[in-house]
Amino acid sequence: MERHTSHPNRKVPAKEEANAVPLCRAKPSPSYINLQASSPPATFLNIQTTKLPSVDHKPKECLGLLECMYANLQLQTQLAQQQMAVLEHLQASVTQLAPGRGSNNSSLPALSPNPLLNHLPQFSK
Amino acid sequence: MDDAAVLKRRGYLLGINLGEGSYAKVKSAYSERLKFNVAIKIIDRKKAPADFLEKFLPREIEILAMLNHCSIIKTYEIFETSHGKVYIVMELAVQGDLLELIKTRGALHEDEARKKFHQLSLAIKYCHDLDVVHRDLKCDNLLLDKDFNIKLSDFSFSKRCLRDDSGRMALSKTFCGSPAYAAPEVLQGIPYQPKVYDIWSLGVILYIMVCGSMPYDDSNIKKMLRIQKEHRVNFPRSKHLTGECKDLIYHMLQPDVNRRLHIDEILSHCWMQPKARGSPSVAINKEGESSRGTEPLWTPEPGSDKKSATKLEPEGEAQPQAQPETKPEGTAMQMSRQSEILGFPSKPSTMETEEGPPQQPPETRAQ
Repeated sequence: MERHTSHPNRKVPAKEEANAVPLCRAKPSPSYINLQASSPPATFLNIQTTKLPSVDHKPKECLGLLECMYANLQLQTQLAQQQMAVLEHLQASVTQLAPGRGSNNSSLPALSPNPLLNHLPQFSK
Repeated sequence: MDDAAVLKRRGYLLGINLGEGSYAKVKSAYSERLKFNVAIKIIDRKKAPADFLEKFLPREIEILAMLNHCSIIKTYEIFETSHGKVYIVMELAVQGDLLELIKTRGALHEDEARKKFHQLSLAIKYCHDLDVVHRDLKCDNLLLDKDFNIKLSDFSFSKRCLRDDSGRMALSKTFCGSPAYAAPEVLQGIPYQPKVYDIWSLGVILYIMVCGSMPYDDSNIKKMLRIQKEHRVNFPRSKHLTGECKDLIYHMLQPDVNRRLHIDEILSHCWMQPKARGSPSVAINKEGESSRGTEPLWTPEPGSDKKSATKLEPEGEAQPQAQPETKPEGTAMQMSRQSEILGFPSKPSTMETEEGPPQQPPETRAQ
């Protein structure tokens, strides 16, 4: 019966049986969910330019988890860009306050009134 | 009031950090009431996304409260403070997780994998019988107690399946999980049967257990999806896996959701049956929560434990132990018969052993 459909004399060349395909070692795999479909609370991310994909506006052939991952990457990219902007502003402020002393100024905490610093904790995840 | 103070008032002495995410962290603690260490998941509502708070967290709490199985992390207590923090007090798995075990020790021997996978399968059967699906099964979420028994954890994405008036399971549209463990239908965004999704993840887990590597490389999702849909499973020859083991994995990693194994079929698969001679692989549920699945479905012949799976095969099909790569045709047969008995569509012609469907010429694998 079904036995005939199997491969009784299957002889796969040794080359084929060897690990020609590099094996990916066991590794952590992050979890995703389409949480991005809804707006995060204000305390989550304060990025006004972040546009999160909405399930309602997805094309019919949405890609499920792939879209979640893509949205997550977009979010992370935007986060990084925002962090860069904050750091650049910070550096400019330091340079302005202490001309000629560079950005390694040990008096950095004195700049705390700078509203830009208030954003830092939100990006520190 | 900080976490330590809150927990102290509840009778827990806070310990070390076990893990941390963007809006939740897990800490160890000593319970003065229980007199042993526990793990406490602390969720900060102020940092959590709205969907999580409104949808997933209530589900998780509801499901955690209803589960009671020896292979699932126990939940002792759940409480919330006025400061918007939710504390979930759980069983502490002192030996870490399965992924770390495999990363440090390499692939498990089949006997050890069988024992662990049997524990996991019983846990999943328990959940599925309750119409609870996990949806994020992965080695990272399989914790290990002091005796290295499996403890399923993290029900963040779990849900109770809904049924329509005719009792049919509703399809899920929440595409969640971990890419490397996600079924092709989930990766594609096709509304899916959540229990069937869990089975795919089980296939990935068993593969990792016995191979020590990932069955699919998720660094290229598009390519991964193509390989999955072609039902290609590449087993490392160096592991000398038995045909029975490969057969089980192959049929769990079935891209056709209508042909993927059911949890009962997994538990009754020949590879899952306990071995004779008091081998360590004999899956004895020491807490005895369920006799089903732990009872041998047949009596192995003396000295034939290594070829136990051939019990359902035609006579004379036993292969020498030293030639595991030549065994699959026998197991394909066995699987086919098993599938027939269970009314499960079978297609042994696509049975894969090493690199691809054996009926086809050796194909070029993933480019």
